[in-house]
Amino acid sequence: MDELRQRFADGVLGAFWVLLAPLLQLAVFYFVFVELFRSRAAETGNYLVFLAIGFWPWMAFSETVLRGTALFVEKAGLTQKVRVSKIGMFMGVTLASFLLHAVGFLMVLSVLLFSAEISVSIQWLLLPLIWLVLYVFAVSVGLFFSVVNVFVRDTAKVVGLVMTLWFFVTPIFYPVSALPSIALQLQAYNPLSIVVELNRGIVRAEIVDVALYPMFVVVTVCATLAAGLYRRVSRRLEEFL
Amino acid sequence: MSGTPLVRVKNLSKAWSLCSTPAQRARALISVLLGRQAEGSVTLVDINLDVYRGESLGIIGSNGAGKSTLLKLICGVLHPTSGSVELNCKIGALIELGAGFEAERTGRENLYISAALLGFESSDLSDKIASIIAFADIGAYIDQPVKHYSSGMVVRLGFALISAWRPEVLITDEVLAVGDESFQRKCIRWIEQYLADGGTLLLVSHSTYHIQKLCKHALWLKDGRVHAYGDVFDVTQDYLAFHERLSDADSNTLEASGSPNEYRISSVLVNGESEERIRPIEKLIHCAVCLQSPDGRVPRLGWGIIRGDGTAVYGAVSDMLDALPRECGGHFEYQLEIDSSSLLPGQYTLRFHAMDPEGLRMFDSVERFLTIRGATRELGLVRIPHKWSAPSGESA
Repeated sequence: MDELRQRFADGVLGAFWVLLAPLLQLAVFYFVFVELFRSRAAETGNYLVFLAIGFWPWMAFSETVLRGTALFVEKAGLTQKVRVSKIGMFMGVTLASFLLHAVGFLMVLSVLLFSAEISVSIQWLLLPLIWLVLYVFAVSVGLFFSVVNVFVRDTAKVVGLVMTLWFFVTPIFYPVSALPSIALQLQAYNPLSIVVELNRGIVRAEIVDVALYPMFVVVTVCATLAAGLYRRVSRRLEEFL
Repeated sequence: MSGTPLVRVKNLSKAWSLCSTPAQRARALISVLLGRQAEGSVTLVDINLDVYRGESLGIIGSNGAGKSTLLKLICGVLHPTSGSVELNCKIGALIELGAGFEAERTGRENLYISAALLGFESSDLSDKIASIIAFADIGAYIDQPVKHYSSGMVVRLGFALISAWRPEVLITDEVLAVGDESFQRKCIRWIEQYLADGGTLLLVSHSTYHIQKLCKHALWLKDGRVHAYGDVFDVTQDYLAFHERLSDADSNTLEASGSPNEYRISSVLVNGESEERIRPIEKLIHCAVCLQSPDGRVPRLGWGIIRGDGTAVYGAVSDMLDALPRECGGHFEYQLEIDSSSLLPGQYTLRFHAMDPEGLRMFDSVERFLTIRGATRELGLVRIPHKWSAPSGESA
């Protein structure tokens, strides 16, 4: 929570900014894609809804991973002077970063509800579950690269590039059906793709035909790898900070 | 000084991996993953230490001796390579400047964050913060970002925070040196009160004055090992003497010329022993010095006491008092008794010179080393006899 306050305490708008930022982003999307490009595709339905619901899970994931990757190096000054739990600090900061975008997503949902673009359904109760999987995945990837970044300082930059690439291979701006069939099959192993699809399906009360099992395997493997790496290395991180 | 120690350090060692290039760092990651030990520099070797409640321990040593590493290991910021640190108390540590303050936030905000990290009770938080701000006494700067602070102000704030927290063990690493004179005094007064109330202190400082003032015991770390551990005066005096000799060795190398045609010292016995280091048995030091003479004339003996850093304390030549040696088979033996009681604690060199019969030219020299021990805060070289007189009459 400290992190959450820190991010906005410095800004003039303070807490107001947390609510405003997602709405501004949504307005930009509306202007660019609906008014300017008049993007409309048969597969996507209402394009603004399609884009917004896919975009926020991605933002939550991407920001959490990037924030996490830089964290151990960034907070070296603190962890080398004060006795704090490194992993506790990591979890706190990444959770704050993630929650921020989760709140943003709720804001966007309420606006879309208000403008009658979507309607509430019983399936929405599944949303927290999807976001929990997303969070576990984001923290695992972030923790893994945060540890690697302590040793190989270029990691943070490479992760930044990879995230940009990842953004475009994940069906966020385009429907998954626009992909060539080989890429379509690979998407089963891209948890982000599954999460985005599920998120869309649930919000729009549609039936989504995806296999969940590869996603769970990928997320579990990542979480195990990250936890294993951290446990192995944590006691000696300071030597390389 | 009984019961379980608050801090128990057992066979503690710490090695650091030294890697500078990215490739070395990547390799280091693999070797850490494989569980290999660090191969770089070894900072601490096999440290054993028990700190009991109410103890005050000063840690001294040259730069790079491992003092800060030891403190960081004790307060859990670092993890040991081998050995263990057992803690049975809450520890308050002031390690390096900043003490974990965030540069972008104001002093007040940082206090609230740190107070939360330290686990202050929220009921009396605002009172505590007010007293911290009063102690730090940095005026309007308290509402400025910490990045605008001078290093002294950061330390003031850090120390004020710790003083309000009242840890069972206080660890400070060279923080007193940064504050100004009046804040140093304030800190020292606070630490003295804290110790009097049963607090425990671990203090790293290069100021042996502070160490002597605040600590009962001292630990001298040298190249990562415990070089000396014991009474604060013994250890700090040895430590100072070590540094005095280091600086002396640079400036003054003694030439010991000894051709057979010169007056020479053939043997020196101090308290009946010929060892270089004099074992202090009592205040009186008995010396028996044998001189050789190339021409049968009676050589003179000069002697002097030099402090570890080369400062001459006293010197005299035998002809000043017309002292005469005992002659036996071409050797001339002088007997000399020196009263060392007025020397202040420290490391001294006792130097003997063979001199010509006129007492003008110095030939050979022989040195013996002498350590005077004692618990005193007197300053200088020798004790000057003096007396305080009680003020006469009643003062209002």
